[in-house]
Order: sequence, then C-alpha cells, then structure tokens
Amino acid sequence: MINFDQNSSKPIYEQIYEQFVKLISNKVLKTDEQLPSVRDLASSVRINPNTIQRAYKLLESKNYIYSVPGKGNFVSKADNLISAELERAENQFVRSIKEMKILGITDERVMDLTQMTLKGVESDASNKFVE
Amino acid sequence: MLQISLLNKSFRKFHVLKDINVNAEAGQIYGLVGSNGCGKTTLLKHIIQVFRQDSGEIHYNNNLITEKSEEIKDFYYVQDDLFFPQNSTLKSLYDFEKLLYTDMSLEKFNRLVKYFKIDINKKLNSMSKGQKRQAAFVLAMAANPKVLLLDEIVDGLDAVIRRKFWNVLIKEVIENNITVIISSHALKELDNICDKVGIMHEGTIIKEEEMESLKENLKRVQFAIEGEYEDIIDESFTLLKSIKVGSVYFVTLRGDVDAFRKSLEDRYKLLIFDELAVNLEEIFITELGGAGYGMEELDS
Repeated sequence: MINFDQNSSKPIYEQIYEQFVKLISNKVLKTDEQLPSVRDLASSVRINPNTIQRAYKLLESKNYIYSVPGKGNFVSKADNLISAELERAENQFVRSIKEMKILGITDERVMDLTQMTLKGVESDASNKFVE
Repeated sequence: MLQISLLNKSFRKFHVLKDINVNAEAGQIYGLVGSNGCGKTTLLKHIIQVFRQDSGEIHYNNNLITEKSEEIKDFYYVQDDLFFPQNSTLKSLYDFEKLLYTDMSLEKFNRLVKYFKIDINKKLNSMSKGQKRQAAFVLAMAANPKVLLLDEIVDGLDAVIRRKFWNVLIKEVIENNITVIISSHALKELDNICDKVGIMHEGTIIKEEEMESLKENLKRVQFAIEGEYEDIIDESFTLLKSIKVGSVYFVTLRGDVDAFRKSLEDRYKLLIFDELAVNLEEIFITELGGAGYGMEELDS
C-alpha cells in the first residue's frame, strides 16, 4: 500500500504523507478507517518508526487523520477532509504560479490564464508555452 | 541514556580510540559506520567493558559504567566473529545465558526460533556464518537487553533473513524502547532505519548527527548548461565536489540549493537542473573525503 522512492530528493516522511493524502482523497481509506500502526508500517516498509510518526503527525496537523490515544490513527470526518483538500488545492495553485514565474511567464499571462479558466474558457496554455 | 565522553585507548603504541564521544537515547537506532579498521569493534567492546579505556568515561542513565557495574547486565553485545564453545547448541547456550541475564524470556526465545526456523539442537559450530548470526541474534533478543550492540550483524545475512531481522528489531525498539547501536558496512541497510549516525575514521568520530539533519544539510544536484562550467563561490552555499559526466555536471553541496540554481542562471543558460536524493553512502563518502580518505587518484 505504501511505498517510497530511495532516489527521490523528497524526504521519506513527505513521500509517506503524500501517499496517504492520495489514498484518503481517493477514498481508498474511508472516514474512521484505521491507518496501519506505526510499528507495522515501519517494519513492513523497513524505515525508522520516527519517520512514520512524523508523517502521521503531519497528516494529523493537516486534518486528514485524527488519533485516539492507545488505539491508533483514523481517517477524519468528511468536513475536516474538505478543509484539508481546500488547503491542498490552494497550495497547488500557489506552486503553479511560482513555477510559471520561474519559467518567465508574464504576470499578465498568469492573470489572463486565471480569468480564462475561471470563465470556463478552454485555455490554450498547452500550445502557447514559453518562446 | 548512553553517553561516552572523551574515550581514549591505546594498544601498545597504537592509539586506537581518540577522544570518542557518543550520545545514544532510549528508543534510538544508532548506526556506527566507518572505514575498515577504524575502531568500531574496539569501541563496542568498551561499552560492555571487555576492554577498559585508558581515559574517558561511559555513562548509562547517568551512572558511571565500570567492569563491575550492575548495569552491564542490561547490555548485550553480538560480536562480528562469533565464537561458540565446542559442541554447544542454541538450546545449551540459552540454558547457560539464563543464568547470566535475569530477564531472559523462554516464550520470546521459542517464538523467534520458530520465526527464523533454527534447529536449537544443532551444533552451532557446524552452522553457516549466516545461521550463526541468526542464532546469536535470537539469543540476544531473548535476553531482553536495554542496550543492544550489534557488530556487523546484517553484513552476512541474505535478503529474506535481513528483512526478518529488521522486522524483529523495529518491533523491539518500539515496544521496549531499547537502544540499538549497530555497526555495518552495508550503508544501504542502515539508510532510513537509523535515527542517528556516528561516522568513524582512524579512531575518531568525525561526525555524529541525526540522520534527518545529515540529509537536510547535504545536497546533490545534476545540471547541464551551455558553455563551460566553473565552480561558483557564494556565501549561501559551499560546493564540495563537482564531476562532469558527458555534458551533465553532478555537484555535491551544503547550503541553499535554490541560491545555487539562481547563481547558475545568472551566469549560464541553464538547460536542466534537478535535485538528487542524498543517501547515507553519499554522506559517508563526502565526510570521509573531507577527512582525506579515498581521495587518492587511480593511476591509469
């Protein structure tokens, strides 16, 4: 279920975090479903338990999961998930804009694209990349 | 938890351990890595006081450790070159060690014997190197130590057994909050498992740091540019190593990767730029390279 890529420059805890986010967003893991225990996950993927703990703490702080002392970690209620998803989507939007800036796309173009997308106009972004 | 401070040891004229400092906490897996003959085994043998230091101290839970300390019963050392008494079996060793270790658990012993599929009545000296290591490990776990010292134990095990070994060890660390100090040359095995790493070279610990911060501090990138690249000097990063393979450059650096990328863009037309994973092997080679190890050129 959970995997990590040794050759990625992303820290392992982040990789694990992202995979759980995906599993929760895709409803593979449903509300109130229990996540594997730190112990089981650590020994099955062979990584340090504290790394798993760190990923779980991050999931909890982002409202994807809640923990019950002595019992374990569970997937959050739908409303909590929505706020987590909103935050994720916003972050993604901000990252995309930053990337466009790095590639040298003008502010006007970014604004145009945003407005066009909002208006539901089919954007031609794929054809008009950078000169 | 376990603190070693300014430990020194000489065998005749040979200064084997020089001002060694080690700090390992409960629930921590501590990886002891180093060049061949750097003193890892000698250091482990000091912790259980088989060897006595010329100077320096070892503390466990703030108590000074000497050869007479009661605390040593909480330590268990599995050595690299296993030596068993003639005709002994795992069963007979268990019965013997039960007298030494008060927390010895028969239930755990039986469970692990079954898990590793070991014949407890077979003579240990007729077993293969890997089987001997498994037997010694099972015995160590059954003794329920608080501090487990493992000397190159994974180096002789096959992939399936290694997986079983880590399974058992990780569960033990979580459930009983023990401290594990494990030495190894198999850096890929220790990567992502250890909380902390001590890198040894020629009798000194040249670096002791949490694995996570080691990885955060060292960066590797690959990039390609138009024109000839020359190393950049900047205060926000330090370039440690640059090599060119074909038209791609591989650079190891400390500090701000984004600042490095920016300064490349200011100087050259940057064609590709990727951050690469940093593994323990890379860290090891970089740290030992800094100490002058392995920097010799291969004459062609």
